[in-house]
Amino acid sequence: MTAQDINFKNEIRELTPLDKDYPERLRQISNPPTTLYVKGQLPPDDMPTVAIIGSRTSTEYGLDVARTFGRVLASQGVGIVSGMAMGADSAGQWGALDGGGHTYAVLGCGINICYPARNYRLYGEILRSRGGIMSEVPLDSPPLGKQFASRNRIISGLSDAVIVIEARERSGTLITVNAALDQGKQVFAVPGRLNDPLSKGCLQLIKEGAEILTSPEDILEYLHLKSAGEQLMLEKDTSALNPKQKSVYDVLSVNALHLDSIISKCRLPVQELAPILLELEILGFSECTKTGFYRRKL
Amino acid sequence: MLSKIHSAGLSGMDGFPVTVEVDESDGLPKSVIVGNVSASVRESLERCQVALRNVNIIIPPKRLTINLAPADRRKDGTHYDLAIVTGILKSIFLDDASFIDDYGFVGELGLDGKVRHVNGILPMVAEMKRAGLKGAVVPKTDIQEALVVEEMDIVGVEDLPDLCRILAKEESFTDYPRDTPRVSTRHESYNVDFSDIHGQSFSVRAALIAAAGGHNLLLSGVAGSGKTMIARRIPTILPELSREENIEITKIYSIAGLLPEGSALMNRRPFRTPHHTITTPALVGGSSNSGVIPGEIALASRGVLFLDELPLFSKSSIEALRQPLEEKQVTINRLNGSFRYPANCMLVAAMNPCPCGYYPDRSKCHCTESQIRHYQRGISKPILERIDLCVEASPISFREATSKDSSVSSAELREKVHKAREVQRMRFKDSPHLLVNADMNSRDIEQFCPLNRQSRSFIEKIFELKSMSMRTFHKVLKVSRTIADLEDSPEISITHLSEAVSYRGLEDQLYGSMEEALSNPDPNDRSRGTNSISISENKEPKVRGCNE
Repeated sequence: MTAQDINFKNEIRELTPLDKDYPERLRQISNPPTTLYVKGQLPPDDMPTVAIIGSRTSTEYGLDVARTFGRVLASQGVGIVSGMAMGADSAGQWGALDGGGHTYAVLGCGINICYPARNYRLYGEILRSRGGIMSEVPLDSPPLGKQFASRNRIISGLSDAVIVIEARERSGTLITVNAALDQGKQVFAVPGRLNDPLSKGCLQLIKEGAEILTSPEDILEYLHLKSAGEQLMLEKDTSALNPKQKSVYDVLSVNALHLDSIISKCRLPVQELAPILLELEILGFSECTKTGFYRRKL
Repeated sequence: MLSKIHSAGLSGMDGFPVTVEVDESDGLPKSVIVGNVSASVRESLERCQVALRNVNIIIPPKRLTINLAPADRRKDGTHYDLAIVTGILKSIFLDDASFIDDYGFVGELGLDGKVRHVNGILPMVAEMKRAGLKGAVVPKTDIQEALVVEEMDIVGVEDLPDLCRILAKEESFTDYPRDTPRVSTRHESYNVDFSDIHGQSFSVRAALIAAAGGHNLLLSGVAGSGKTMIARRIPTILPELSREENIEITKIYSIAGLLPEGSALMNRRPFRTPHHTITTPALVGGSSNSGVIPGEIALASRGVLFLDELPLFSKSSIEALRQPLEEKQVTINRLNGSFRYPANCMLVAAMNPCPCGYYPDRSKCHCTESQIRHYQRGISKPILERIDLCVEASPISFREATSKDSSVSSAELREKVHKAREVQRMRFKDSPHLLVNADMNSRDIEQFCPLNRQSRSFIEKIFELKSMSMRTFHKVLKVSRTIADLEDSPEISITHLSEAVSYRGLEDQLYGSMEEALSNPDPNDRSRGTNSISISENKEPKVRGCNE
């Protein structure tokens, strides 16, 4: 699999802080990358940008939140910066692509290497939608751990604010957060449940003074952008549902539930429940995360 | 004096007639055995001679030539002993014992003269009947098994003196006590029942559908959620064995030497659970030192082959199941012939969702996405393609496990399965290649699973929403046909379709569009240059604390 197969004609640029095109935001940080290899576009200096980061092992809820925030913010003209990792990172970037916006990926390996390989479609889509792929290490460098730790400062450096979706107590996401704080960027954390290990990191951040993020409007407000008509509320309008659908929807939660527990809560047999769940899915109210597991969609 | 004794040999599932010819002549005392025989048959001569001596029958010093005809076929096994010893006795002592010409002889001899059990009595006696013999002389321990073949006069002998007694005179042969036939064809009850399972209504329902339509089933779920329990109970809801099926199963078990001692028929649908370290020949059958023996897939025929921890099975052994599952029989080709066994079984597989077994519960599961994927990709795509139903067993709570309500018994479920099978039998009465819905190919699906306009537009929507492949679509149709049959509904409705969609397999998840694109890059897009990305998924970054 080579980049030619994804047919895009991107020149690779090597930028140093002396170049005109070098992002102004990166010049401002204390240790800007001496060379920045770029495929595609860089976020323009006048474009508001936000980093969406989080655990690689996010829950379905976390992925949904990341994707929703990515979509809503990108549709308002905010550039989404992230690391194209599995989990929350790529969910946020896919969201940005859903919203028709631009998204920029800072890789920990050379930009000729798609890491993780499973994200190669994302890789292609980012470039196709006039976003950019960039890295400070040479083109064909393999993904080495230390490079990932230091690329995190570029992610936060390129962004005006950092959104932390989900993070474990001691996680790599917090490296980015530390970099952001060093650079004086605002950090927003999505609150979670007390006992959820993937929320521990976020709750800790909130305790230490991070902004609590409850809706995309918080970010737009911070960036001095007005929301223009788009339904930003995370609550769905359930008035269109019939009573049966409504009762099943009420049982669903943001975390995926197994069909067996939905059955016991709704007191309906599989034969009746399956069509209702499928109707909800068609209407966009729920999704089947894997065989037998259903959750409420944001 | 020359004597001829009838016997039978085994080749795969079927027997073939063998005639043991013994010639006694003057000359230097010497015994030879000819006729393309294996070492175990050659040894038979020693056993016969020693056994005769040990029961005080003295063979005069003569030249004995023993031929097993047809001489061009390889003969193996120890069951020719009885025919050979009878031939020796007849050629030397019993010139006029023509009354045994209508009987076949099978059995192994001990040095003390006892006649021992041999494997494969049922297929051999069946072959004797086909060859036109009136009866068979078998070891006493195997009488019940031999009696399964109807209209055959079965004589059981315990030892050589017994044999001599019946050979002495025609009257003594006809007067020798035969055991009265006590062959039972009753459906033996199982010692497990579906009512043992509490909760898990989704998986139980899937098991019901799988049994009704003969579909293969994949159960996924955390450790201890009862996957094995459910699988073990599937034979209890399959329709009762017909006599033909019963005989077929018994033949295989008889050849494999797995028939319980003294029993006539198996009477139960088999449930086989090979361990995941099983080798390919053990799974599909292969040569052993006692000839070609049936593998697990043949032993599971008419029952359930349960593969626990499916991703851990070696790829080659799983791949070897592909063709037998499709053709419902397995052919083992060896230098000395090809052997065919039935492999008409239902495949039930179980797997954990991830290496630690807790996914998607992220508060317990720390497996990375690629680990999970790697684990799940241990299942080969061709096998997934043969599995119509996939379910996720939910982790069971204490309350569910201890509650007494909402469990259904095997008898109830079997009744439903029986009805659904009946509907299928009526539907497929003009298409002999089809027995159950699972057998339908794409053309049959078009014929037997018509959709009305409403259902068609509904499934079209789902098709796009779920980005299904055509193969998955066909599976959904087959399963929905079975669901409709369970309700005795001639038409497939939206309800049936949407339930079928919820049993959709892992296939699209694991081997979806991305993989196809990876393996078949569009040739038009190829151009040369430095501007290339290479894919590397193998290495995880090694520094701790940078896991985004």
